[in-house]
Amino acid sequence: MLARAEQTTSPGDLDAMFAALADPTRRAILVRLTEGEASVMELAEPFTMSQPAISKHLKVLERAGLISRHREGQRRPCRVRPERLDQLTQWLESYRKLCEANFQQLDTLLAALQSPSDRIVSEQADANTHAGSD
Amino acid sequence: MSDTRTTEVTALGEQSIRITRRFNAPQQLVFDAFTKPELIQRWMGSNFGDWSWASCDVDLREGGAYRYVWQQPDGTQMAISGTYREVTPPTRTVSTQVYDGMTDFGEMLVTIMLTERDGETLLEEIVQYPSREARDTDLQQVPEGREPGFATLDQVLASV
Repeated sequence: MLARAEQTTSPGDLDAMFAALADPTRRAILVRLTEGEASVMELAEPFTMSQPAISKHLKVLERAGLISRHREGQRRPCRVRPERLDQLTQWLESYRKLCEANFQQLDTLLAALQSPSDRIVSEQADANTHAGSD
Repeated sequence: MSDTRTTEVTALGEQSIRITRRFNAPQQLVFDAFTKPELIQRWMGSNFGDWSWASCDVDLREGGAYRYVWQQPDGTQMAISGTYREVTPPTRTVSTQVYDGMTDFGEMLVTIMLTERDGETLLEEIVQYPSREARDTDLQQVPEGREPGFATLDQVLASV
């Protein structure tokens, strides 16, 4: 798993991706592009930002490999590269799952601490070291 | 009110990650669960593999040290430790954090912020790594869909 990840993405790539995603405008652009490809003009519309400013953001996204641009006659529409986004999302998601599993243990503890009857049960369970408690 | 008590993890800037989670408990209780050894040992990392708690020491004051130690049945130990830089019950702690035996990885700075609303407590936790490289290495080390082992436990511990 790790070997595969290393083959396809270098740490430098990942840095570029995270840096690109650190900006709210760029995240909004990506969200827009997940709905379908769009031109710079179309992307600039919802933002109170000039086209050159948007173009600058697009360059950062393109360098990070998160979007690609191709020529269609006069237009140069942008599209997301889902495979790259997926990879980043996967790492954060794996990390998230581990946190969540841990926090679910905390949920259980907090519930026990707030219920007087459960409190006695959980304290007994503690004393018995892992007696079958839910 | 909302029942969406799921963890969110996002990349924050260049060398941090942010973890948010809602808990159905008052602020003070959540704060205690993060800072009292007898409570910490009842949830943190307790569901991973065959690691169990060996010791848990917390000197909860500015400049005070903490050290969590886990071990496997064969006696193998692992630990994380650090120093509190800021202790503001029941809303905030800032502490350094290092993994035992991974000194080259460097020191992390963990900020825990708690906000109570409608009887629920929102946890916002910022883990600031010493460098972008350290953060990205830490994130990439999470092996997905694999049995949690040493590395994955590290990941979980890094978050708490």
